[in-house]
Amino acid sequence: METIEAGIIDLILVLLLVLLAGSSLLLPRLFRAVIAFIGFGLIMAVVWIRLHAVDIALAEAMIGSGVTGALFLAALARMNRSGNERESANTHRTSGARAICLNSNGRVIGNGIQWRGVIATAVIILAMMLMALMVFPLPEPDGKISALVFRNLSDSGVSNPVTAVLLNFRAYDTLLEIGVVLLTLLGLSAVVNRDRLVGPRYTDRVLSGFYRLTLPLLILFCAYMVWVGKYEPGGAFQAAALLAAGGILGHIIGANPRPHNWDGKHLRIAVSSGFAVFLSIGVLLWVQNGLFLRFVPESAGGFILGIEVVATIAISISLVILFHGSSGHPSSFLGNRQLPPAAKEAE
Amino acid sequence: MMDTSTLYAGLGVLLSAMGLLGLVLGRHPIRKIIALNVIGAGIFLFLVAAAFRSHSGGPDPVLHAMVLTGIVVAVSATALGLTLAGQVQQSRSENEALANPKESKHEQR
Repeated sequence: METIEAGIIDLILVLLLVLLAGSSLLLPRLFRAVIAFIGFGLIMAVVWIRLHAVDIALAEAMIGSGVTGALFLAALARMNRSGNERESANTHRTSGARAICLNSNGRVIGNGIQWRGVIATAVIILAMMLMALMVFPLPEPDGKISALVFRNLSDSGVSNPVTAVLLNFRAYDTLLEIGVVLLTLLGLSAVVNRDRLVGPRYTDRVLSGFYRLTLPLLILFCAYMVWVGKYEPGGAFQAAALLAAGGILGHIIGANPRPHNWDGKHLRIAVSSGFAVFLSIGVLLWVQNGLFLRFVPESAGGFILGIEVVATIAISISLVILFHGSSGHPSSFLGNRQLPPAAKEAE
Repeated sequence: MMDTSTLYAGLGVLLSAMGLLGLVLGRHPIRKIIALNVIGAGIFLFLVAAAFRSHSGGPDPVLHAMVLTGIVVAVSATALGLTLAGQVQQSRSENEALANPKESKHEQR
């Protein structure tokens, strides 16, 4: 095994990451903490490239930093809205951004540091040092699994090793992962109080112009991303995040990006289609080849592309609905029930 | 100088420790969810740094696929956690509104 010396750029990246992680955990104002966390995600994306993990860099920049950041900002805005309902009388924090900046609920450590905090800190630092002692120096990699991947790559139907692992060699993991996304949506629809939630709409002309300009490009690039995932870094998750970014932007400006004649039932079908198609292909392959999700080299490429297309659509719609749930927008996925007129007026 | 994967693996351990501290000491639910994400980032970093060490034809794709899966699961968990946190805060403010009906706006419904 050859070792690669860390350069100055690595040290700078490490320092930046520690700084940004520290600020996202320690800054007393939650809005700044969330912004620091978004920056943290972007620097992480650069680190993934330094570590030759381009697939992960793409996913991190779009999902880990982009969608997660949007989720945090939406949740923060929603909490401030409902918090303001009782605080606005004495504080006059009505405009959105100011209200977020001035929120001081999120202090990590209050006025007096409690002994429980000190003990917890000591225990965690001790445990982490023990763990570091056990782990370092890192053992020599035996490389058996990765050699296995590269040896069978030509039979997998794709030439990008990460896609081959995700959708062929360990397709079961990915199936369950799509199941987890679906489960999250079920959990969301169980807890969200449908009648009370109305989110703000920003009818900003610049933003809606930007949306109209970028949406076709996003869709085109998303299709490219799914296709190129067979050969190069890219694939369903990255493409889904791109499409979801367009959907989230559309919902923020009130453009309602879903097809006009779709209601909650259609959305539910679209969201579960990823898992359903993946599962049925798995069963089909079971019948054909004797094992659940066992691909044969001749047809693997086609099946994988099919799974990726459906999974992209399902995951992107799921991400948009998850954004809705955290921001408190009513979503037609969460039930066909419309808001009663009285509730609309009250908001 | 250190070799790259050891440096980043060490950073992964450090980030996990920082995130764990933030999770335990943080007060606000959003802060706790940020801390969970920092823990996750530390673990992913450790895995990818380990993948970087096997150099027979490129980094280990199995670990990369695991991290990709992890990122998508992390964003789902974050969304659910934020929704739950929002619900907790909403019902708390409703309870307070019921306790002092003068300031309440929810009585209109």
